Amino acid sequence: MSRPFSVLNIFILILLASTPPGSPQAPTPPGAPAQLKVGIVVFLSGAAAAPFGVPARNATELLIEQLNAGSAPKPYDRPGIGGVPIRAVYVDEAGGAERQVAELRRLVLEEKVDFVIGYISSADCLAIAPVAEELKVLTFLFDCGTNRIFEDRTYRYVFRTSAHQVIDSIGLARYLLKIRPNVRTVAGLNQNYAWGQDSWNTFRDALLKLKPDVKVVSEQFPKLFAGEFSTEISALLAARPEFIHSSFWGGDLEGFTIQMTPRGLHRRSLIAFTPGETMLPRLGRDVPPGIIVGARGPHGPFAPNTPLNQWFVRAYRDRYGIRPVYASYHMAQALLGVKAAFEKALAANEGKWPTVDQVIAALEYLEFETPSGTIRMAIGKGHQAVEPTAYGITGPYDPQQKEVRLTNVMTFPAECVNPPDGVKSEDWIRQGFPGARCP
Amino acid sequence: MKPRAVLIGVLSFVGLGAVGFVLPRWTVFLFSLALARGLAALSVALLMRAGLVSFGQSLFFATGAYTAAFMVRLLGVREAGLLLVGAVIVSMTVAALTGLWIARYREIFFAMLSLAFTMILYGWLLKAYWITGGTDGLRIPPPTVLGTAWSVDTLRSVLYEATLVCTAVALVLIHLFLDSPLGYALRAVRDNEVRLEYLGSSVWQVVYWAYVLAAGLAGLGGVLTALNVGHVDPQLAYWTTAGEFVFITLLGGTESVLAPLIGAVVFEFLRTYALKYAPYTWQMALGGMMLLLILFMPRGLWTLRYLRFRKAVS
Amino acid sequence: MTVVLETEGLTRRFGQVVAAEDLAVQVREGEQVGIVGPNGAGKTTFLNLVTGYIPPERGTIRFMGRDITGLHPRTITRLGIARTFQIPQLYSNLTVLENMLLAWAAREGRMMDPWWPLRRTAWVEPAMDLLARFGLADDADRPTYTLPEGKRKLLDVALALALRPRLLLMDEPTSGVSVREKFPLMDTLMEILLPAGVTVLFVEHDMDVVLRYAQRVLVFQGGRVVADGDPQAVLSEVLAAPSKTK
Repeated sequence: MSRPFSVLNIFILILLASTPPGSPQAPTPPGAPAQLKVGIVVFLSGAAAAPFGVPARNATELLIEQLNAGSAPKPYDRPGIGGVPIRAVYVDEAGGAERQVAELRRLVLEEKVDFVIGYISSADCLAIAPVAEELKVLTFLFDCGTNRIFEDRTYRYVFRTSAHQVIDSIGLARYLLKIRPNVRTVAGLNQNYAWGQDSWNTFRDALLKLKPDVKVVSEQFPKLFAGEFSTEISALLAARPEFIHSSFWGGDLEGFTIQMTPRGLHRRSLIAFTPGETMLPRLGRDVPPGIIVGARGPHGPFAPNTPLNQWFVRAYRDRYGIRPVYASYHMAQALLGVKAAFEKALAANEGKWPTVDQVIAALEYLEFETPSGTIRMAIGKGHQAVEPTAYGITGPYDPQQKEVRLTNVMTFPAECVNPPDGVKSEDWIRQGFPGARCP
Repeated sequence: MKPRAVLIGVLSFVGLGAVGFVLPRWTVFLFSLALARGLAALSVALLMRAGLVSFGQSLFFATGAYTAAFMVRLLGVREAGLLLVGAVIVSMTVAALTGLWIARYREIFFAMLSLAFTMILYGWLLKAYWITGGTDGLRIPPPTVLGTAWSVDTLRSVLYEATLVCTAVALVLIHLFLDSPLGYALRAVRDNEVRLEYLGSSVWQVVYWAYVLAAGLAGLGGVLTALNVGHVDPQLAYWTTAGEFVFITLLGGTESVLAPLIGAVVFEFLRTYALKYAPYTWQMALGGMMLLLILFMPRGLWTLRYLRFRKAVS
Repeated sequence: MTVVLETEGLTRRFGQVVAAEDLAVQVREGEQVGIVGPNGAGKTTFLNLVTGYIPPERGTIRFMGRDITGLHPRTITRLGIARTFQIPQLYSNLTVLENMLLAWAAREGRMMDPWWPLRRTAWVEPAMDLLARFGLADDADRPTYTLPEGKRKLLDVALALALRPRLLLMDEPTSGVSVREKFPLMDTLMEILLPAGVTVLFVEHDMDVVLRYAQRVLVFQGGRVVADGDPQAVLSEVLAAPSKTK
């Protein structure tokens, strides 16, 4: 009597054991593909890999794993996207715009990805957007800074789930006027290429619009990846500006910070680094106090203390030993935005797998939750996200967090630092920010 | 040219043309880029005949590309044929000016000067960003080809066919050139400059005109790239782009006009597959493959052609 | 008889070394002049000065009455002076015929032609003829670097002759050639040169060759011409008084 029972027991045990753990048998919607393939294009090599590409890739790996397992917090707890597992194909963004155009074609026509997320370099964004449109592939620009994408052209298949550099520049101008309302002299220290030139121009134009009597006493444009800044530091020490604007990133940012600290430039002038947040966990103790840093939006130390953010930071830290920086947050925005849109379209389509056009309709003007707070696809005809921005000043080192703490943190809502839908940034600034709602 | 070679040439041309409608679109696109790049490598090979290594063909490559961009944006020209002609003319004009100086030099001095000129253009492209778009580059909207505005899908194939035609024409012209007195004089310069002077010819003139012709080739490669990609940026003028052309020439070989083109096609596909299969280490993979090729075929892939022949003879 | 070449006061120094001093030489049309002298006497310098390879410090050079002082070698070549070299200057990587065709292209003034082929019938036939006269017709398609020394010398002269010069300067035409081949080589050269009415100057170290083929001898020493005249007479004088020539 016991033998057939134990055989049955063993049979059932084997059956149960052969079910892979962590893959809930969620029903996939009718018409859905077996898996959703996403092309992820970020810098895996070169100077932009360490500050941006690798954190973004890490976030991708983490989120896709968690999303597929259904272990993300609500409202993202449905496995995969609408029950369909996600699979990533990684492409290195290195090699230049021409190469990326070819790679996008390969991703779409050979790898047959369902959508693409990526592009850190503005040049790449500008080059591939028309091609994505031609190939009719949903493409999510997640990090590049140029505001030209949706201001110069209209796109149907291209979206950007994070705000562009204008929020950094206008936000910093407003922050400066809050903490130093009587500032008189400013200087710029930016890398000599589009990112640096645009960041400086937008900041300078915004500041001069808000306070026309400010004088620009120095404009430094060192070569990208110059690495050595003794000339610029001397020039800035001599010019004695009260405030220095900088959009430095990566090795230039860290190198410059380390080089200027012993010479005391930060004590003589108030320096701000708009993407400075990336260096906080990396330089730790070596970040001097009294420097303004931004995170290109409400990311990292500026992220809201929501359960979603707490989960994200903890999961990332557990896996990678370091907290996520803003590039990781940008990737989270993109992935979660895609998921939210697909699932919204799914619901609107009575549970049947949506067409690309239906997903686009769901994406336009979508609002969704991310570790950075609520993201609204509010401008660029619903294709461009707006975000609030925040700045803070570095303070004492926190040995538990292993980075310096930030003081005087101020947040500026999205309506304060983003131009309205249909208005070009430079026009909005020139007209004096009509319709802006600022604290 | 031998009639058999002509026949093979025509058949290959027709075959490659037909293939453009059959192969997957991304492969066709890569092939177009490879051919354009191959033209620039051919210009390097041309100068190598005279014993000159140019690390500055990217100057003309970028000039061709940006000329097309400016013609579209400032002059409103949309016809690809006009863009091609304009780009080649401007490239050759730039060479006519820089050549006045550089044609006096040889060897390392020629190489360094050519590199310097291309970096000067790069610097200007970066600085004058209100005209050139700086590192963001400039977009080139889809051109009309033969007066027709093709639909987005067909345009890819049409541009491929156009690239193929331009490449074929360039190959024929260069082949004829190499059989001409000037073409032989080029090899003579490498061999024995003194003898050329003692025949009553000006070595400087031979180098100058070869330099201008090579510039036209590289400019053609540049405008074809620009039309296919739809975007130009300063990277086209950076010296590493010129270095790539030299590399492709070495990879393919310099013995025949076809060799650099074969090198370019192989290089393009090697790079794409390196990116696909080794996304984190593709540069190393690519470098490794190139190293192996150079070690085992120091005179280029073209020497594979002789492998079969030698075996038959022995 | 026309004076083909005339130099006056031709002087050139290299630092302390006097390579040419106050040279006054006159050569008439059709002459075959041998130039002899010890090493370093200035013989090759003289050829280099006349062909414009180096500029003189002082003095003039006239060719067919025209002042060619300071002109570039390629201009002087086009005016009708050709030269050969001690070490034959050939395009080693090209074939013998290709070398000759390049000379033909130069002679027709079509070196800068970019499209019509080098190997055109109008040129190949006469080029092959000239090669045949030098016994090089069978070697037409051999790369030049495979040729033995004697044939390289012949080719060097053939290239010079292809230009139809009025004056031919030869720098040691038989040096490096075996004793057995010297006379046949010079015979071949003179057979072609004499009927064509070319004026020939040749630098030689081999006295037998000089005695046999020169009508007139110039003896160089220390940058100066120390003797000028009939080969037999000049040479016996020189050989008889060795102390004077030190």
